[in-house]
Amino acid sequence: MGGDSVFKLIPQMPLGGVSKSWAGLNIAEVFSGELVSVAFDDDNSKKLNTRFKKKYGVVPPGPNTFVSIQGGSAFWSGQNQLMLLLDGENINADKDVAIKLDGLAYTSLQSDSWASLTVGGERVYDVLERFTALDLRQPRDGFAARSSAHHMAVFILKLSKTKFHLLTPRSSAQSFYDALCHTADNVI
Amino acid sequence: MNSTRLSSGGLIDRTQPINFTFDGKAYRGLEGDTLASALIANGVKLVGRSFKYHRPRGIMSAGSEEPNALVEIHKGESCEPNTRATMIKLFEGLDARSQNSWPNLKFDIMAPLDRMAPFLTAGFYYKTFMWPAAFWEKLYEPFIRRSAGLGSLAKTPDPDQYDNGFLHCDVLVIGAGAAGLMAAVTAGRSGAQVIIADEDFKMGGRLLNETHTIDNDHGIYWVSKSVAELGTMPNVRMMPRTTVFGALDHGTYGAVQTHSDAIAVSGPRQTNWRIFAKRTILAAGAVERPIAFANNDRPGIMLAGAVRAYANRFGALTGKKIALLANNDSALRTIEDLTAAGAETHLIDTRTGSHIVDVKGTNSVRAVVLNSGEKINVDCVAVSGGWNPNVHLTCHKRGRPVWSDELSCFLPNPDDLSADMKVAGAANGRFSTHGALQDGARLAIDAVSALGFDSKKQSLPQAEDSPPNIHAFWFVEGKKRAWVDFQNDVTTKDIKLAHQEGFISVEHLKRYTTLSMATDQGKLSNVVGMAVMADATGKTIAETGTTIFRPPYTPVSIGALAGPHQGKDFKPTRLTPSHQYAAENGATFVETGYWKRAQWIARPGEQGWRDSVDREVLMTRNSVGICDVTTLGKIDVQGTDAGKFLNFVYANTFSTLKVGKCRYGLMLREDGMAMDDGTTARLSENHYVMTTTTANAVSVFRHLEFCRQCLKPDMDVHLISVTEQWAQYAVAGPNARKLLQHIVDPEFDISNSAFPYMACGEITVCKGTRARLFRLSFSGELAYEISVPARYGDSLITALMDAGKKYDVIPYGTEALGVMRIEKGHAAGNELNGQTTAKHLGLGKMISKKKDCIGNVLSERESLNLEDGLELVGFKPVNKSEKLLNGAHFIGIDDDANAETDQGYMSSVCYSPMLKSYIGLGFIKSGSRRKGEIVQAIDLLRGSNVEVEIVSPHFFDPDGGRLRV
Repeated sequence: MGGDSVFKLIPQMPLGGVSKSWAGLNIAEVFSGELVSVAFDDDNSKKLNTRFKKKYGVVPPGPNTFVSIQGGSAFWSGQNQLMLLLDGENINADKDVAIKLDGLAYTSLQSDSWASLTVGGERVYDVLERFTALDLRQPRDGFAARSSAHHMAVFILKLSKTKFHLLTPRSSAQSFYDALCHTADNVI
Repeated sequence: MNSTRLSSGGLIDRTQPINFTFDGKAYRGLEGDTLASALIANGVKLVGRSFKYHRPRGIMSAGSEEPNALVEIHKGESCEPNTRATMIKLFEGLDARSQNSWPNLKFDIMAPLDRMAPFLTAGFYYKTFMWPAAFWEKLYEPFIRRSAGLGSLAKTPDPDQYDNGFLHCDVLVIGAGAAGLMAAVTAGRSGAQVIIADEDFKMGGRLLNETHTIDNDHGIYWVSKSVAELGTMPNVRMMPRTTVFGALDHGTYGAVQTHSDAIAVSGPRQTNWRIFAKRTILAAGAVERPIAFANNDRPGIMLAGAVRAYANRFGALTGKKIALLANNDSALRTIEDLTAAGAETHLIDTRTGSHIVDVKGTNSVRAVVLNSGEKINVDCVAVSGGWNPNVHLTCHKRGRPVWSDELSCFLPNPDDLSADMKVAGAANGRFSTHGALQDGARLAIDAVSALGFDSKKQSLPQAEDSPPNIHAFWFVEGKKRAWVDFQNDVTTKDIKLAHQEGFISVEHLKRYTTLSMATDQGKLSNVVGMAVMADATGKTIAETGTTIFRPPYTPVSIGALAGPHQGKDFKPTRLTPSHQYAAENGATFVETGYWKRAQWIARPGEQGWRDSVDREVLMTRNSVGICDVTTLGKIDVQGTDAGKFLNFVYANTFSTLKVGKCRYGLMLREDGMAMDDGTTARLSENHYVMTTTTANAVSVFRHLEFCRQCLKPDMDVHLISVTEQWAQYAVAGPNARKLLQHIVDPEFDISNSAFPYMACGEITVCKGTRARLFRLSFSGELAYEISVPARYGDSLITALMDAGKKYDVIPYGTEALGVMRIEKGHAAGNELNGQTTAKHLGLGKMISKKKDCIGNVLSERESLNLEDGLELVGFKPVNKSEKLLNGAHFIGIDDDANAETDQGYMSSVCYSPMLKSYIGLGFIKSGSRRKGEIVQAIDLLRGSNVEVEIVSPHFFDPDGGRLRV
């Protein structure tokens, strides 16, 4: 039998909650809740849409979009796959989502895979145009895309005209943050 | 030196002097000058020495086509060679130096080479230096290498900053002359997103250099008005000092923007942009070309357009007595402009049969001799052989320009242009200002209309519309050398010689003579060279053809290409969850792809890495050790068809794996060779977690996605990487279970009976934290792999180390991991090297014949199943004190080492602290049937020959008793 543990594990954010500001730009690591991937079979897509709307208030987002849902937001991440960003801390969020969706989808906890940064301010495009290949000026709020920046993966969510949410793999988050700050230093 | 600056005129700011030096001598220029214009204004004519003959050279052009005025700027680590003086915007403190001369520019010790010209003709290096053979390496080559090359590179890293960036637009306008500005204004007014880029620091193109009127006013006013209007448009981005150097695939363009020629500035000096454009209007203008005549490379002989540019734009006269040699009407403006500026001018119009046959003067022109025998004393010769449209970007995607007899130039081939590109103005052979304006407006309307923008026809400004009236005149026959390619010292004689020697294709001619192969890429020389070739062959230029223009249009610095990716930012670094713990405890890290993994963790007093690694192995095998294995690829495989999918991608069967169990899997490539291996755990009926090797994590995931999407699209199976989600630690050693019992919550029984070898399950640790436990062993010890969400990774390693203190737990690195896996005989990356099969690895029976899988059929190829094929076995030295080397080849004990006697190779070696000798794994023919045989392990490169005995690969605990307790 297992023993009686005297240890308590303490969660850590990938970058320890860093933030940095420039004139017209702010970069901050944020805790954005739990991230859960939701994948579903084509045959189940109609049922899933119905179930998803019932539980989260909207149908799953289409390509290149993210939407607010009850208890968080959701964005498209691939064919028959989306990501849910759920408010609050819940280490079993994937299991809860699977139950909510009544077994129509396969879920996986992804919160720890990604570091979460917000980048905002009036100079945000001047910096991001040197950071990632996507045209971020043109899309409306609610734009979501998966891309790369400085050879690192990134989900880009357009929160508003001057604010973006970036998700980047946890292991290379420090390199990502350094590169983003370096770019900002170059521009501002 | 006498100042040649005119008392008025020009686009320079006379209230803002700028101090600079050239070859150590102090000069003063003005704001708005280039280095070239400032040198001319200071009366400097000699600016460099030619590449091959070390001939004195002066400034020839006023743009990026400059072949002569190549200078070094800055010093030490920031030294920048081969910078065109015509493109450097003058700045305070600029330190420029001439190149290719010693001890100084005026007296160059290599200048006598010019007299050896008869021995240095085209391709001389193919015909000489043949004997004596020994001289090549010791004398000829070192001498040639020392003589060759222009400028000198800094030998230390460039300390300045460079950047990369990405821009998007509806319409990209390349060039900001009359056509470009008109196009940008027209497109901008429609609301389209417009980028206009020009290599000059001031927009306006040739309108800056000429005295043309537009709408009855000086053209410069129209330029200012247009630039001002563009500045008010939020949808227009103006990019001066930006050279679009390449037309790349999918409507993208490479462009380098120079922010500063100065060094140690805040921010990047240059940015390398990738521009994504829906439509492109190429309005890059044209460059004037010279005429080849005897000694036409003397300082003071310049392009006529450049002579006008220095007078009109920079207010600097290139001479007091100027001869104009021309074959077209555009050059006649030179007479008009220079006479107005106070110079004495002489027209030599080839259309009237007059031309220059020789030039007098060495370091500067003193006189020209005409074919009539007349000698005219001049200090400058302005030459115009017509204009070459800048078609380069139309050719980057294999477009071939077409020859126009009427204009005597190559024009873009409309049939070859990519659909998104149109060409306007002089770049398309419309040399008049009216033509340029008309083209710019029309093509902009076409572009924005096609994109759905509302664009109204613009009223065109009034401008001159005179035809060029050119009558081709390329070169003057004569005995003396006449230069075609100034930068590479290629003369008309060289081209004719090449023809005599049988070089018929222009591509061969180019390579043999080096015509147009210098940094100017033949902007001035290419067409003249073709004309000389055509004359020699008796063909037309159209029949002769042209070589291909490739990117970059002008040289791009390595710094700009590298952008910010230098030093620590060269590539991303991936850190494991225990990185901070390992770093604080003396770890040495090794790069594994982007990952940094602890290689060993030294303790005070240890003398070298072997001390640390031996200790880590012994302490793990004697008690317990912990290794961060987060870097192994982890892939969630879910779906009702997950088991079937795994059967397809793995050689062995997974659909029968029971929930709560793990199984080792071998993955094959389509060609039957081993691709990757790892364990896969079944967490629930429809949920598996696959592990891959660290090195192949990405490629395996990509492979699985290909299989899922393309080969098995009907399967209900879904993949997502969870490599980063879970921090995972191997806990190995006889006390592994005891240690884990302090961590795992009491409701989970991890005893051998309840959680046997190859068991897996979801558990909680440390009072309720979610975790997974796998009973796996790479070391051959009683071992587990425990994983928690990565947010707890750092905390868990601390907890494990604290909990393990009573067992003398140690963290161990990849070296100890490697030693233990070799002792145990497990294959790893060295064995899964892309050249081995399941059979080679001793895993042939794993390929299930009850089902199909990728690689199944081709793994049965005869050549992969030979009776005497390679097999993985162990090796130990006969003399236990001898060291084995990885990569050594196995040779029969009585055989000489050669390709015929080669029987296999050593793939992995280590020193085993358990066996107290070196041991190795390797592949040898029929290995499993040769145990006990002695062979030689020979490494000819490192001079090693060790007698080794073929043994079982399982050196340690061959029965596996330790891992099942």
